[in-house]
Amino acid sequence: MKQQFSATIKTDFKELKRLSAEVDAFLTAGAFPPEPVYRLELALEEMVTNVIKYGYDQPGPHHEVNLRIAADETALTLVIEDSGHEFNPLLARQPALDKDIADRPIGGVGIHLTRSMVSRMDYQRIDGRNVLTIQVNLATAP
Amino acid sequence: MEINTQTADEVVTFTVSGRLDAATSVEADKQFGEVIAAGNVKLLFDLSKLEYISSAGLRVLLVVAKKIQQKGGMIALAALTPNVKEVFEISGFSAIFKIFPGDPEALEFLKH
Repeated sequence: MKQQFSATIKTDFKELKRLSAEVDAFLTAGAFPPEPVYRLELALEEMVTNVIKYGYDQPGPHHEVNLRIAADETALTLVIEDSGHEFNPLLARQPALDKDIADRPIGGVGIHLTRSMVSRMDYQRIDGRNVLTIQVNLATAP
Repeated sequence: MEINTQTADEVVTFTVSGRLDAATSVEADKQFGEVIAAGNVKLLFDLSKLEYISSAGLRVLLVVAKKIQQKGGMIALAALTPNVKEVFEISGFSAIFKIFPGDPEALEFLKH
């Protein structure tokens, strides 16, 4: 049985916090296994954070991000849409993961984590909008 | 997110519960920073109750690690839950932090 969730938030961290809690409640209520839920929630947080921080020349709560989650027996699918700068996270450079504490830069890990932890990621630029589709597969029964 | 702080034999143990994410990392950074600024340089992070960490949470821990390194101190992390452990591994953070299965092993390391 398919379950769905959708929301539009302002590009604001307080809104993201509220959204993350709502998504967690939705996924928890669906009784999905904890690991795919974690992966989807992480992808959501990391990618929406990037839209808020980097999507626009003037960051602030004046813009919107739309997201939809669909869940069925095989996968959780998240679609994030925004009208910020064209940005394809699949093309982002991998951060330096092997530096020691003193030399390790503070940022740059969010996209890498997301790409590594989800099953599939697709990006399209459609009519001036970034459309990012992320899929996390649910484990099939043994 | 809750941080319980206890001190014993020069080691400060932070038990972090809940989520270290974009919403909670600012507060966590503040609390850890205050403890370090007070002169504590041996820190144990008990993460057995940490359900979720994102890059924002990793960032806070990296800031702590940099400060402690500058002061010649020591940090140990203990009892990472499986999803949190995976995040540490993927990000390369498991190579820059000393990670132990439980508090006793971590304390052993910190007390040298």
